[in-house]
Amino acid sequence: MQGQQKWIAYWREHNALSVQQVPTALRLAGIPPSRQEWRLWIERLLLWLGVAALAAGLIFFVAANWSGMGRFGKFALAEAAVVLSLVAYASCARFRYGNAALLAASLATGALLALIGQTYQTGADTFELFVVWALLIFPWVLIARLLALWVLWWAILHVAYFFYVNTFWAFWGISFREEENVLAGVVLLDGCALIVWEWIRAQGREWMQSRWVPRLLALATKIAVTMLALFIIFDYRYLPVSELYIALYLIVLAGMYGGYRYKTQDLFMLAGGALSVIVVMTTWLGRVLFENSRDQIASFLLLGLFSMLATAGAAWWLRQLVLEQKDGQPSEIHEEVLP
Amino acid sequence: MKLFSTRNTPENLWRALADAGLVRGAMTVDPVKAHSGDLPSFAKVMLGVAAWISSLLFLAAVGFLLGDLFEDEWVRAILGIIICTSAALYFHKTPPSMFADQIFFILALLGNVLVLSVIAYENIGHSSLPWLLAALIEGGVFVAIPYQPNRFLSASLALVFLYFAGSIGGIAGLFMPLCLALLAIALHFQWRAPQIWPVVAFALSLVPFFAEAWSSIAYESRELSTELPFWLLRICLIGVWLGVVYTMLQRVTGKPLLPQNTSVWLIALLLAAGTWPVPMALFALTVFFLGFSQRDKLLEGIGIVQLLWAVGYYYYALQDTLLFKSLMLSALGAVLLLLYTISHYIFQKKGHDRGEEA
Repeated sequence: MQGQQKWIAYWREHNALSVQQVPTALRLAGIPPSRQEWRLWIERLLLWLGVAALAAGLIFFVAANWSGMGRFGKFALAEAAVVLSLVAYASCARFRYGNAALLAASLATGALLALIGQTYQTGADTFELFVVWALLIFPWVLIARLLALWVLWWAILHVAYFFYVNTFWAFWGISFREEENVLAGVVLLDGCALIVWEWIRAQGREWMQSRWVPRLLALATKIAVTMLALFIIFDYRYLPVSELYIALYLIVLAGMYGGYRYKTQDLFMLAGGALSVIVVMTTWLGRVLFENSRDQIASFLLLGLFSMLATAGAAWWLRQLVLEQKDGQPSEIHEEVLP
Repeated sequence: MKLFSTRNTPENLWRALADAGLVRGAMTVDPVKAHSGDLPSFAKVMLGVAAWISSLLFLAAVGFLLGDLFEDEWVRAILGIIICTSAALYFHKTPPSMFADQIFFILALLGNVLVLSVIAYENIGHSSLPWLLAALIEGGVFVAIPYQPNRFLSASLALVFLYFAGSIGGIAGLFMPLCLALLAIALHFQWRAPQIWPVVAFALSLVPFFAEAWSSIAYESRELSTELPFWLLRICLIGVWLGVVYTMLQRVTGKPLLPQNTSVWLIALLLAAGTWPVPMALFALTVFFLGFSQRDKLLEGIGIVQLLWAVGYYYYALQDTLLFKSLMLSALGAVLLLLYTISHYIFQKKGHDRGEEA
């Protein structure tokens, strides 16, 4: 339930509005949207769904590897998809809808590279195809300034990374046979991306002001770094770089706390950090208790008490932050501009 | 173009209501100040996860402590009821306290797990009755414990148990259309009980999708094949979708069956037909549609993520060949883009003509 509906419901609960007046009040608040807003929404739905469906159709076609069409026919199809998308972008670039054409071109490029890999069996590793895909579409990602396209591009790089570690098992002496090293790579990738994104966003780029992309990056970083910490706690091999990874965990936590508590206040980041600390501390305490004590009942009880108190403490701290943030701030719903 | 209302503060909205004659005088109650300490939903979800971990640890401790006593289902049931009752009394009788709320939330989860273990322990897979009983218990917990994260968990669990009951009864396929219909109703009436319906709506938007996705993937559930014809289940879902479209047209235009609305009906039918092989996609589209109608970005986001998942699922689904799927998707995409081009051209022309007349 969004802000305006909540306010109307609150006024209704406190008898400032009668039951009969609520539908009119909702209409005045813009719920549901007006006819013109619906028309625009339906238009955009048709555009983006149409583009996604066509791109998915092309990808499925390449994956089907249909023997009824020769290789040149398939290449003509994939290349035509890329070219037509770019022509469509060129003809409507002045509209933000041109971004849909760039998305189509980006996906069609992936299909084309998959077709190359499928047809020629050059011996190229899978990760190379994904890296090339990311490189080829990067100029379009820059031009489009579309958040979803940036997320797609970043997802392609992640897939390339995972294929790389599955193929090569080591990079500059760092072995990927240990899961900790793979996770540390993800933490560094996503963490650096988050820092760069927030720094550029702070320069005032309007299209970057939405919070969902940095939150997604922060979520990926926190999940990876939490899993890294858990691996260190449970891994009895205890690698030479384990202390370094513990330091990495603490640096990520401290960095997120400092950045999102004092610089750009974002409760989502702080709540995730609190959950990570609770999980890691509970796990560490569990390992210490079960290794050093034979009394399982007391150990579980202590662990339960600890996590309960930690959760309650986190809830109290987050609420203090909410109250702190709302003091003196206007109670606004921020208007958002659709692409 | 900015689509949202400019009445983005309580003061502005109150002024608009006063101008329309719905209210008089100054705003006597400030809804933002009244809920100034409320945590956002993502924070509640994260704390809920932490609370689950705590309750499982306590369960293990209590299990070890009571040892053989725990084998007795009556001990578990009575202990669970006592714990849930204590939590319910706390939330009803005492003023809210963030710290204590979390502790009693954890206890409520613990009590919940103990009571449910009595039903689940020996009765899985044999009959629908235990699952219906479990759903009823969760309904009772939902009503008894007025704490939002607990309400969300209870609502979700109740829906999951109803799904399992339906699976054994051979009517699991009706779960998705029924939940979609309930979601539309819950969203329409959510202002009447803002503490209850939004939470129920949130659960209704998530659980059916995951239940359907799980049943499509899990080998065991394929043995629980529905007795109802496949096409009947799809028709029910399409019926709910068209019903939602009808209701929206009624609210926006007043007369849903006017000739001017033909294009909307055509698009709705096209999307229904295009998503026939993957009902999850139509569910996701409807959630997205309802999210926009309520200006609820969270629901819109849930719909988009579910739609992406549905496309991925369609890739691996075995009912058709990849070639057939690619042709279906391409045809759907082409028709959608054609409709977009036509609508864009028509409305641009209308706007141009209006400009000329002026």
